[in-house]
Amino acid sequence: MSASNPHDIDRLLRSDDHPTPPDDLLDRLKADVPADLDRLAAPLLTAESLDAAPSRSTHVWMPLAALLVVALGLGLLAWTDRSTFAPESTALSEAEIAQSVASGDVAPPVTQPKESDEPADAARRPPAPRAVDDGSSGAPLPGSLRRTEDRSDARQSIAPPISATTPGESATALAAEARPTDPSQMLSEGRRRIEVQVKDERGAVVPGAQVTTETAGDSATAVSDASGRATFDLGAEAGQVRARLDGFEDAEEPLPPGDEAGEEAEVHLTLAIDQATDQLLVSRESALIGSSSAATQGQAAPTQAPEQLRGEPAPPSPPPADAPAPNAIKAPMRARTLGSIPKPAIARGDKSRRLAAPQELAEDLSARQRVDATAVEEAIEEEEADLASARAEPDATEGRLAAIEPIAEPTFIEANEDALSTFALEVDDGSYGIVRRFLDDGALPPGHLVRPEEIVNAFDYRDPPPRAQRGQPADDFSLSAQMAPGPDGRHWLRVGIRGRDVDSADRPPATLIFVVDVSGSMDRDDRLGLVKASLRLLLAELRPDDRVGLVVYGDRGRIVQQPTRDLDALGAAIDRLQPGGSTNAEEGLVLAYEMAARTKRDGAITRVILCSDGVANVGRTGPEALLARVADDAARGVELTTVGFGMGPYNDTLMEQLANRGNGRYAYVDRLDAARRLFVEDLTGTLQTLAADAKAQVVFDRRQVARWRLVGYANRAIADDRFRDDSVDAGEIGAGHTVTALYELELRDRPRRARDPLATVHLRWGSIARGAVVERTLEIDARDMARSPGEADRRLRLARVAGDFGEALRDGAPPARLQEIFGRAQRVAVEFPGDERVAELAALVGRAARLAADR
Amino acid sequence: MTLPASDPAPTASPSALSAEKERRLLDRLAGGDRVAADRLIEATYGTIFAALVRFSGDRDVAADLTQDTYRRAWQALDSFDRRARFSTWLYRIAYTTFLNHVRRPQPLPALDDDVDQRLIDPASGPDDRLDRREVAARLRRAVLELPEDLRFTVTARFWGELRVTDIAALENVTGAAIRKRLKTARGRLRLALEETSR
Repeated sequence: MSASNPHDIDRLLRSDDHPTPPDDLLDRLKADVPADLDRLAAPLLTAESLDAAPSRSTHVWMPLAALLVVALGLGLLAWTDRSTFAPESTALSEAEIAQSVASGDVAPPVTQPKESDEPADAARRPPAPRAVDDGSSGAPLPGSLRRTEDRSDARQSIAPPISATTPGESATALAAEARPTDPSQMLSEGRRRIEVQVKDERGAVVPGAQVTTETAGDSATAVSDASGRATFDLGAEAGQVRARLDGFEDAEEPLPPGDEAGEEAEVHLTLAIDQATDQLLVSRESALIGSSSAATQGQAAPTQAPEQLRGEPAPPSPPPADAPAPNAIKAPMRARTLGSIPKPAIARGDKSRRLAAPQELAEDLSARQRVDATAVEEAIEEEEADLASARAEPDATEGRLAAIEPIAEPTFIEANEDALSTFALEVDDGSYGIVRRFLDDGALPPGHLVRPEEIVNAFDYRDPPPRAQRGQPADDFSLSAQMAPGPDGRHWLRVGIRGRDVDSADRPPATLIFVVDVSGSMDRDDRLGLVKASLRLLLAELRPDDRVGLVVYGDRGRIVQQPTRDLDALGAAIDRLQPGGSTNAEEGLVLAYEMAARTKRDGAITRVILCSDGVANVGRTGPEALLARVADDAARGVELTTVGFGMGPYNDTLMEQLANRGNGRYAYVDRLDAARRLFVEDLTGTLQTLAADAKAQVVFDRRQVARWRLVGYANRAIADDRFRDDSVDAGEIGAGHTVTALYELELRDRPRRARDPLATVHLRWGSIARGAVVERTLEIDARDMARSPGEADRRLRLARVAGDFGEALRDGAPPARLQEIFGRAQRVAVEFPGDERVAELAALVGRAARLAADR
Repeated sequence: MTLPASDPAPTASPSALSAEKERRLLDRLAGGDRVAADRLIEATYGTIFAALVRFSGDRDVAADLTQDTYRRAWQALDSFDRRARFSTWLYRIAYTTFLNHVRRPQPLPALDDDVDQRLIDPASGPDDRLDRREVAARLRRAVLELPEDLRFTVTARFWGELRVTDIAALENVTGAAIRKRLKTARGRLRLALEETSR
């Protein structure tokens, strides 16, 4: 196998020689040079003069590049709207499109030469909804102003969708919408209309196929609509028509020359199933289905190598490692079986499968060493790098596979088959920060990075905290529920779980050991600079009896400061942090845990806090050993919180896993306000864990609820029958934290009495304060139901906006859907006055809608 | 599996600009000179198109994305920092344009036949052909499934034909870090390919 030589990969990557551009491309590009080039290019002179300045600040360039993507989206829209850029040769078709837009139609893809009707081309299409009020591209603005402009613009100027698109509409319907339906649509001179009908071998119409026509004059691409049809407006020359869809062989038919201008012709294409592709897809699906059913049925799934999820015929899986012996949780000290990884799939759902089985990698490694003994050292090094980067792999792969599928209706569960919804509580909101960062950079986040429940849980819903009653101390949690009908006849249920507030003065003293990544990649203001700023924020919040230690790692781990109360010494130590070297996170963590063990105080919180941009590699032993170590120390009461700083968000899997194993929390800090939230406003919640292994089970009344679904928590599911199994590793909840579960319900149409519980929520957790496992129950009945969608509780409406937003991003929903959510986001923001995050949510949704329209 | 017979060493676009010439063109562009814009297009579009073909596997899509790339670039000229090379900056826009293109619920376009053909050694038998085609498709998919930093680096180096130093400047890391990323990526791609031939 020659590809085993690394350099062969290079050759393979380069092996297609320079593809020659199509003949007409150069002309198209030149014709695209905007009319106001002088205005657009003028700033180049200014930029030139900067050249004389010391070129220290190349990193300034990156945010600028990100900004430009935002800015150009705006500019492009207005630019397209005015049609001023249209060169003579295509002015007619552009004008036609503009006309059809003016008449309320969505722009058809028919007349553009080389049009592919894909979102990449959407930028070229007139963005109908914003045609008028987007005046932001009139004059170039300085970068900072431009961003502000964009925000306010996003908030105010997105008009309601003009098409009949309804929320949740499928991709197919979207394609259908793109068809020309306006009868006033004129054919250009000397052109004819070709109707293409795509069917499969059984004669069923095939929507969503990519249909391409090629004639001597031009070529065009469209996607077949819900009735399998695509329409083209072509010259009279002969050519061919081709249809292409994943899973089918390409179909092609000749296109005879037209006799006269203005004629209409119909072409039929039949797609045959592509055997090879079919098998590939099936094996992929089965791998995924297998894993998810393992998660829901509560069988301990063997850890799978990430590669197996990529649709390859899987080699025999390694035998599952010993399942952890069940052992009861004893709050506050939790004992766990730690050495036996993988953890059962029931506990972590998909998460446990994110790691490659170590045995398998070891075998692979030894095989490689036999083959090429001289490359042993390199193989080890590469293997580790592979391992490190493979962490994120299965997750990412699943996301991509999901993204390949057409948008599916959300999967409801029949209450008659399964009326129990069981999941581990989750307070992580890292996904929200990642979404925000992408949108700030002017791009839609990739769907697989969006975890809707983490968007939902990013907000303070202001649920009432638990209260002390009759001399009893307040419970750890309060439970509340809000229900309301949705506009489509379905119903929505929010279950809010609010942790007890602990006053900063009442929490135990804390020893915080920061482990700071100072490797080369941290050498940016939004990374190490942000870490330093965050630590200084934290120092100001500490109590005199708290202590802080500092460990750094680059190539090697190093103790910078033993735990101390001396804020001046700490401040100086923080100031001295310098980036450089590679990323030996393991050594840093080991040092920190040793420090923690030495300095642990009875009755005090001991917490290790890892600050990194994503843990590039983890030393020689791989993530499994590190994860085991972290879990081990968590059992001894040293918990791990991980904080991602300005990282490429693709690397957050290990950070999240480490926090899960370390019974801590994972947070993502991209800006100082996020650090303030974590280290100042929520410091007590971050430090003071109220509940260990908290899980919830919602039991629906089958007589009233026909079908239900839970938004998000895809990888936090717990087998229904393990709810009262306290050995199951679930979520840790801090003081003052709120967890929201959002359900969409289909109710049966039957009269019910107001007090028949529609659902019962059971909450079970290991209470740190009581040192016992506690269970609480809340019955939800018709009295919790709002009479109309408009009367829904603001908490429910906020949760719906956040959940819908998360799902829309995850599923790549059409722009109209995002615009609909945007409208609701604006309204709900008014009801949370002074809550900057809710206001920010509205702005983010608006920006996403804009980007989606521009996609 | 054997490699293609020819060894196409990395070739810069034949019309690649010298830094000096690029600087002069940009000066003229700043004055609104449309001819300078045409020259810049001519000098860069081949590389951008080639990169986008390798990204998308489809010539038509690549042509459209090339067009989008330049449209975006013209509108964003005011944020072009002239310390960077124009071609490098343009590549970054092309990369973003492509990611936005695939960030939608559509299948990745199948590998274009033309591209496949080039990877096929005419002397080999039908099985080999299938193998090569599969390898090419796998490789492309594997590249696109790399984590973001590796993906950007690999594609910039091999598909965008940027120099290591230029990529390092874009990513604001050292050249050594870029080479390390390439090495890491190579290992992962090799693994991905080896699975396919198993």
